[in-house]
Amino acid sequence: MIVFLLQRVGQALVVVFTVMVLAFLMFRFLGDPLLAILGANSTGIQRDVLRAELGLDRSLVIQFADYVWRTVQGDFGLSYRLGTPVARVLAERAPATIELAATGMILALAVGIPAGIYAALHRGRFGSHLALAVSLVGISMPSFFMGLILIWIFSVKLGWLSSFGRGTVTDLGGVWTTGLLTASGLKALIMPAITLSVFQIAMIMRLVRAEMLEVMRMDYIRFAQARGLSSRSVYVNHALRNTLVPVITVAGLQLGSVIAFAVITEQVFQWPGLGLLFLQSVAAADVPLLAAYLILISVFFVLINLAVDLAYYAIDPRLRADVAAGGRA
Amino acid sequence: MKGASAAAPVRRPRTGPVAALAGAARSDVVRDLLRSPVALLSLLVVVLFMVAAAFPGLVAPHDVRDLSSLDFSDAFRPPAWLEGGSWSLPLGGDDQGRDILSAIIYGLRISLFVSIAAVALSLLIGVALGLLAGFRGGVWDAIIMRVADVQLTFPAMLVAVLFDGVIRAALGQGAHATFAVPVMILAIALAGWVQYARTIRAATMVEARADYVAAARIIGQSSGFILFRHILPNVMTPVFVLATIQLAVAIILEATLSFVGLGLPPTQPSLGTLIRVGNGYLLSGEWWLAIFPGLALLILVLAVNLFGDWLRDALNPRLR
Repeated sequence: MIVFLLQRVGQALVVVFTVMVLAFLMFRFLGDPLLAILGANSTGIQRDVLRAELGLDRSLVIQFADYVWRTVQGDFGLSYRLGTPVARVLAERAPATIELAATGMILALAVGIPAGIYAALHRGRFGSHLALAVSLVGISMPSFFMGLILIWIFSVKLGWLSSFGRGTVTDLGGVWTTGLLTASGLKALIMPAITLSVFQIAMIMRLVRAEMLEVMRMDYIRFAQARGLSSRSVYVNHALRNTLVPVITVAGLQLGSVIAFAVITEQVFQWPGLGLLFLQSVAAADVPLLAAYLILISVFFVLINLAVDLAYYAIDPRLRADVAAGGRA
Repeated sequence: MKGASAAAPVRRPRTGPVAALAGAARSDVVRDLLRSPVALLSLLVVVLFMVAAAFPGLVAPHDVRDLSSLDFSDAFRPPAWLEGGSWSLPLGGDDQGRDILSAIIYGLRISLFVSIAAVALSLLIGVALGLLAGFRGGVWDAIIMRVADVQLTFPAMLVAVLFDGVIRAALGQGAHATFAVPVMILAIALAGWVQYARTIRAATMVEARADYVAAARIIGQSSGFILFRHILPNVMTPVFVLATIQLAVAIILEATLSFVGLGLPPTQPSLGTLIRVGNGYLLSGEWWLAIFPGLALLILVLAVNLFGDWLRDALNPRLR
């Protein structure tokens, strides 16, 4: 167990370290920080002074160590575009993205799992075919186009929902802003959350269906049926339980791609989160912000992967046996 | 008749991807295709879109690249079946009086070019690295697979956006517009190579231990010859399936990047760019600018996905 744990944590650290090297190289070699801060009209002497001040005249290794040290402390430097500390900007924007991603993910699980079970149990019936066809469209639908269609129908045609922003937000003690406490905030969340979850719903549904069909073919299900257990008991206690292990794993990993797709959804609905910030930073070549975003996202992804690995290890006893026998985990 | 048979050319054993496809065609795959209406229809749609993209001049009612053909009185003209529409612009006109249908066809050309080139490039990178990792093993394998693992931690969408963002920052804003197409191709290709590399590596490791490889070694064939003439043809089939599915992913990636403004500029409008431009007029009621290019995109991706799904099942011997 400890070996496995250390191995996984080691891998995670390698990923984060690699990303930090990339972020540092980006930071150091993309664009000229001196020019970005002083402007094109600065003199050579001004630049030399600033270069010494920022420590850019030291060796690369020392600069990198310094960069890592500051990053670990949460100091990502100043944004070129906004002139404010990157860390503060990120903290301001994070709640919007986290609320959107969490809502999208919950929606995906709440719709995807029952739909998948339905499609598996009613195989060959019309409803099941319909669910599969809809899920295929869901997988093929570019998320931004989904958002566009929703805006067209609900904002332009019907005028029910606002097409942009978070609505009225409530400030919770200065560290978190939430849109979940006001009616307009909740209304504003509807379309972005649906847009974000469509692909996930389709994917989770197809996965649950496939896993469920696989499990239903197993002998123990037939034995359970032969023992005269109610179909409800067979489906829920025997089949579903074994289906959910891989589903939870994939859902966990999908949390990462929900964050990635949030970039697109935030752009469509002008949702003031990290994704919109990232796109604005790319457009403005705001390197410190890009580098910080890169590190933040990679730490987040690595943590998710680590959590999923560990959960899998805790749930599936075969993995433990494998490791004990010297197999590859 | 003896003379005739002696004179007949010796049939060389055919290898390579073409032979793999020819072999597939001889088997039941074609018969399967003819029996599956969904697969047939989706293939038809894909072929239709590709032909339209290859010869836009023959299909499109107007040449949208010819600025002199634009008529400003056609700006925001609704689709033909609505009031004020005209059949010379079947799907309506855009903000500059361009025919939307023609714009879609020319946009399709750019979208498909970028996605197919990106898939080809990532296939090339992935297959090469996969072969290297699987055949050489050792350090090569460790390095390539570690990089793959790190990259797999992130979704393809994010990888493509990041690559595009980094290349854009490196080139500077002005140069980016000039290199938009190659930058896009590179970003999407770099986001997709891992899938091929992993597939090929696993298959190569199995094949490298096969008897025919040992036999080839014994008769003194070089490693390179064995790798490309013997192993490669035997590991390519899953790659074709993967490439079909990856094409759908690449099309969506291209459209998405262009939509958020990281991809192709309005001077080289792909489907995603068209939707981006049209998006600006959605709220004022000119819905056809964004919705029709979006539908074209959706139908294309759906068809590629359907065909890819079918191909995967058809080429999978376990499902037969």
